[in-house]
Amino acid sequence: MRQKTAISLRKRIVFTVVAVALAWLSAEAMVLSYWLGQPPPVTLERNSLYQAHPYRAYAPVPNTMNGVRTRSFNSFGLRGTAVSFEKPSNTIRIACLGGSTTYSDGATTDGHTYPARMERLLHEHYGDGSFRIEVLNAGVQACVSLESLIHFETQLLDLSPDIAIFHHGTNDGWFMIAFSDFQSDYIHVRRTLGGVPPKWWEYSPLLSYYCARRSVNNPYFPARNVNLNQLIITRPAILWDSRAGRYGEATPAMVAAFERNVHSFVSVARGNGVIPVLSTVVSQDDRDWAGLWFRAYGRINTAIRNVAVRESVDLIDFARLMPWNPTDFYDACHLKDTPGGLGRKAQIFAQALIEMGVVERACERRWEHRQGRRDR
Amino acid sequence: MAGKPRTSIWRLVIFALLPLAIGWLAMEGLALAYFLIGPSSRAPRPQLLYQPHPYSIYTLAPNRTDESRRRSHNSHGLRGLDFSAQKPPATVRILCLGGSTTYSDGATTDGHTYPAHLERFLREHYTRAPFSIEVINAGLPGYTSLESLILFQTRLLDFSPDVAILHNCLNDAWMAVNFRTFASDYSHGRHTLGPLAPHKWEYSPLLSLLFARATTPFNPYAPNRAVDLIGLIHERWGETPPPDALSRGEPAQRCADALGRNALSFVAVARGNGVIPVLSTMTCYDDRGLYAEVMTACNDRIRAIAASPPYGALVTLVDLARKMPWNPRAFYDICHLRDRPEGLEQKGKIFADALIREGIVERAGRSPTVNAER
Repeated sequence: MRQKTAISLRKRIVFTVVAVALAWLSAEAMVLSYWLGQPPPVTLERNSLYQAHPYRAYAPVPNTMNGVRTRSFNSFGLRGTAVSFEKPSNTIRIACLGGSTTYSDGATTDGHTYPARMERLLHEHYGDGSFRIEVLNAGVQACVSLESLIHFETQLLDLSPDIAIFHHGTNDGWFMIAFSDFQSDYIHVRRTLGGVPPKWWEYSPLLSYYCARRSVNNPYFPARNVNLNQLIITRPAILWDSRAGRYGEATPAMVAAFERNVHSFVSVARGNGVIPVLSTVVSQDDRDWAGLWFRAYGRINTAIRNVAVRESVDLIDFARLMPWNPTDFYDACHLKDTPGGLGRKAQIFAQALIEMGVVERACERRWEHRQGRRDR
Repeated sequence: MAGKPRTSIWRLVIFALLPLAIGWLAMEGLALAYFLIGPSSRAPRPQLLYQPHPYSIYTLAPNRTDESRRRSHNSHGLRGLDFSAQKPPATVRILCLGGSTTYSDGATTDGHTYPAHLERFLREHYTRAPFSIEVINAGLPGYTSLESLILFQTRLLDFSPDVAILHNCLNDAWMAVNFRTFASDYSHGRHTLGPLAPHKWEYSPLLSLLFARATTPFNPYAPNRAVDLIGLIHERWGETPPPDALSRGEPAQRCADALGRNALSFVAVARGNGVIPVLSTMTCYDDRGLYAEVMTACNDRIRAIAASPPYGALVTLVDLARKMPWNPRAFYDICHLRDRPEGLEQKGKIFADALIREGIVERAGRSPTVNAER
């Protein structure tokens, strides 16, 4: 019988370490090949449609489309078809600023949003061919008045709009009642998108497979239970936690911050030769949060009306013209893609612009501006 | 002869891993001891003077003092003494917005910045006035006109200022000169600050020691002092623009357009909120290079805004570039002033003289907000 040869301790260590490493690597490779064999993961729509922005916390990714091809952003990151940087001659450009209610979350295609519908209605009304109407949908989901103001100053002014509609209040109101430590520059709630890189262990296919706590940026299988709010809000859990005592009243100081932003928008628009238009916001009036929601939106709409009166700004009192109803709204503030929903909203806005003569005034201004240049 | 007893695979694993773990821990202990008693333990730990902001990338961290104790930030995250958010009765509050030239990088104390000198000169002049004067230094190193505008409308308006001086241009010019691409919202050159935390591996003293150059300024053992603000906030810093773009004078034009737009928005927001806007040009060493060309275009744009209707009647201009040309006695680099009478003090005097000459302070003193409080 052959005698077994003794293995030195050093060899045993090397053997063990190599064996463990090989086993681990082969397991990693097997899991990786499993991932590769799977159809590519459909990236979370909201995650892939937005990117971090240094001044707006987040912004739409230009030239993108969602997985089911119902929502697209053009080269300027605006929902809808492409527009040229230089405004074509004989064109009145209207910028619609707002959050998801302007972006039109409920619209099944880009052509069904309220700005797109409004463009068609205005075309029909001013159809003599002397000038064209172009409506830009500058609504960004979840964005607040401050972000739209910065968007207006940093990008939209470069597109030379003639009229700008400011339709904010819903998200601002939420930030007021959901967070007790409100700050007027909204840093109590907003964080820059992109602050959630994968955890170090997520680079391992094996661990990613076995551990359920993957992040939204996992390189193999991104977590899907993440929405835009979770990416851009400091404490997203609070936003949805309406338990008694968590939510508070929208105080005058909070509403003053919102009013300041609306006022700044009016000033910047006028300072740049743009006609500002304000509008109030609609909200379900019987949400079961002890009336907090209802009172907050009442104060916000009052602030909007105050600015409109004080500064003599055109106002579309949408809250009065289209009160909340379960037929046209599918949640507390978003309209359905129906003629009575987004179609009606577009009609109200178009009608108001026509009745207030805003488009005609914009035409006159352009004519005066051109005449002035010719005279000089 | 009896055969050696067979060692189980588990024992082999333990024998292999245990010495490795012990060896690693011993080395970690040595590295930790080095950090605790070595030369780095005696160096003062830098306080991070900046904090991230979702809309203006970064702001000054409140209640901080730098290592040399020459610069301190008050509770509002602005350089200088603390002040109440609520404006005191019968007070004319003047805001000085800008970048490092307003923050006054060269000032050896908070009392030697140009806004502090400005406050002193104005107080000396208006000793008998029925109002007091308060000047707030709202300059942040690295800030462009866009960041100053955002700071103004998101935070500074809440302090109820009566006069606001916008003194930006240099960092805007940097944004145009140092990058191949240009976006008028400056997103081509800026990225968000943060996260302000060390990498995971930096919690290992050994790795922190071995890879000292790769550590962040937030390393728990030896913060990397070589990383400055520029390194934290700039995207692809130091790119050289393509030569064809330079020959067309594009950087100057695009920078002047963006600066002009931001300055107009500043004027509009200020006037809309009852604040008297003041614009100013900036001095820069003129080496006839690209940077000087961009600065000249930007200064010309600011002058044009202040001269053209309707802004000519609404805006006051302090033409610092003409009143205080670059000279080596006053400046210690291309744009920053020394802490001496012909440097920061002279700048404070020029601004004070301009405000006095134009009657800005009297006008602010007659405003309903100041009068009502009296």
